[in-house]
Amino acid sequence: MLRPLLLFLAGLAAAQIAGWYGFPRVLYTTHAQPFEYRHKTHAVKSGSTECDGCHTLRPDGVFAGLPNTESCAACHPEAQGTTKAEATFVKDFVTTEKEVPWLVRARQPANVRFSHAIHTKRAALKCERCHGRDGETDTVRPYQQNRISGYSRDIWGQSISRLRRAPNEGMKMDDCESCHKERGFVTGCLGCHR
Amino acid sequence: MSKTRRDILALGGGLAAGIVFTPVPWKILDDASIWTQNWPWIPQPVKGPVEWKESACTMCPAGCGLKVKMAGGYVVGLSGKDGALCALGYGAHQMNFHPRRLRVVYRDGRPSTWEAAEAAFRKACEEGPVAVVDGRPSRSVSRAYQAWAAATKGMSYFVARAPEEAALVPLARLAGAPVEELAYDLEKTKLVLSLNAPLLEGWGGPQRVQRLWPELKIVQAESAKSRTGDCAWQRVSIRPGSEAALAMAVAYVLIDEKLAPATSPRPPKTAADHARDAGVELNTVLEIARALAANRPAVVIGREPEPAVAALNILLGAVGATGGVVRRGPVSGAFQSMDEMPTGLRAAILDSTVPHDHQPSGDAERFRFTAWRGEDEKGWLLPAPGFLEENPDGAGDALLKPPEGVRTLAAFLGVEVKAIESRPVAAERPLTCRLAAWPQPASSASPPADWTGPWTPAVLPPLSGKLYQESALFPAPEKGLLA
Repeated sequence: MLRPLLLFLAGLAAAQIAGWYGFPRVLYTTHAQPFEYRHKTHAVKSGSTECDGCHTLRPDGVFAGLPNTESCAACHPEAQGTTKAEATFVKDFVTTEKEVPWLVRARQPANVRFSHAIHTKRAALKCERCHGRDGETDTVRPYQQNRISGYSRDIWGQSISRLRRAPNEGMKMDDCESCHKERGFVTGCLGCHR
Repeated sequence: MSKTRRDILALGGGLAAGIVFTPVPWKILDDASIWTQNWPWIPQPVKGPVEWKESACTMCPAGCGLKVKMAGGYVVGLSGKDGALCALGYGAHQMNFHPRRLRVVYRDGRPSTWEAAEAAFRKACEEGPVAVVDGRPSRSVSRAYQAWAAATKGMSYFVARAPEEAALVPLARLAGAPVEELAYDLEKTKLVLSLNAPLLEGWGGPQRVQRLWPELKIVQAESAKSRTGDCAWQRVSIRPGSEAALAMAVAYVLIDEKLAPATSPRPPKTAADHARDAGVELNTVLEIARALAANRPAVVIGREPEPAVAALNILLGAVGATGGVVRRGPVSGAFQSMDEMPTGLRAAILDSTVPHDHQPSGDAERFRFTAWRGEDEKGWLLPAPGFLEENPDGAGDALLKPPEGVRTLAAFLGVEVKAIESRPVAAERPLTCRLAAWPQPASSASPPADWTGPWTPAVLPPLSGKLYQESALFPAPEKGLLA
């Protein structure tokens, strides 16, 4: 009688280990960014610690997203150091006038409309509220892509259980809704979806 | 120790029970639902900076001003530059992806090649005469066509007139002025008597009349229920084909009640007879005539070219007067309509601005430039740039890149298009017209024998018109003329 019980418990334990530790490693594939980028170094050397120094809003309020190669080339018309990343950027993108194919971890699906201007200006939210402290890092985290949905891991959040996650962790609809609920700001479906 | 079936079941049961308490089933369920939203055949909007550009709609001759929202080099939205657009205009950028989009040359409904079309056109030119037909003659590219036709032996240039312009042809003939220089001065008009003209349904461009409505009073005389009638100040039901009869009845009353110059020629029959031909009560005609006289400047607009409408406008004093039909010019010149094409043409080559319902007369071989295949596939169909794939003026850059295998008529003819540097503002010019005799009507009231009255259920779905009238968006016509 004890043997089947032990086997049942062994199966239970194996499922827990596979589900909590093995599954996240199988679910996501890791992709390196085109080259290394250091937010912290740029902030120190440029003297601009504000995100909107590079991640600007256009005059019409549309978020410009990542700076384009042309704006980066204003400071990097040629290699500013001896790093491999610097050489790659100048050789492959500045001289060829191509845009860097950054893998954007916060990219939302096409059926979502999100206005950075409303959230940062009207609601006065800090960028860190959703993006964490990326701007203070000196490495760019690799991009982890969900094999099934194709989305970035940052949309779900690093915690596979989504329990006890940090406020800036996760960019799913639940996360948007809970923040809106906390602030007493209710939007309908078409507030965000198109 | 041997493995038994019970051992396997116990282990499997443990695994199955355990997996429920891990994220595996729940996360897979969530991801699978997202996966279904991202199947590769589901179109995704392009990513890129959003820009607003300005252009003009080319879907009809009205040429409404457009504000074009572009993302990543694609058009993703359209709105009117100066008011609303029509339903087709709002979705015109989708037309480039229409299943009937023409991408290869067709001859009599069968695929062919540009080389074959060029050879056929060269042969036709040698055998001549050939006509070039243009839908919008005031463009820069039209000047190039005109110059090419004038400089090439056996070539002639014709225009396909929009219905709004064609309706003014009888008045232009009476006034001895080019129809291209005549225009309705609706911005200063107080009342319009519309004879079946779809004023609020795209006539002259939806932006113009909708902007003036409802301050502009519209009396809609119509033989089939229309939305213009729904929104009109007054609506009158007339027999099909009786526009001339109603115009003559109103003219008779205007003269009879001294609301028009007493020396004006009278219509051939009495007001009562003409009213009977039109299928309306004489009292209704009296009310229309009095409303026209009391709400000057007033003008009469017909759907078709009708000399009786032109004569009524002359009697009303609406010709050459503020709020009536005015002459502005010189515009771009006077052109022959393709309705006046001579017989015996060897071929006709039609610009993509010529609507498909404009067909050259006779047996002329057709070379039609078009972006979309129509119903009639006789002759050559030559793929032209689609919506916003060609500058509306024919000169300058287009907002969108046309697909491979598409050419313009100008490129086909090998003409050089120079942008017209400055277009002088068309100043108002005097327009005088005297009615010596009552003209022969173009249409005769010959209603079907079983025509019993206004609108049949086949035309009017039950209750829809009533609900439309009662909606908050569209005010119901005021009571008075309706029986």
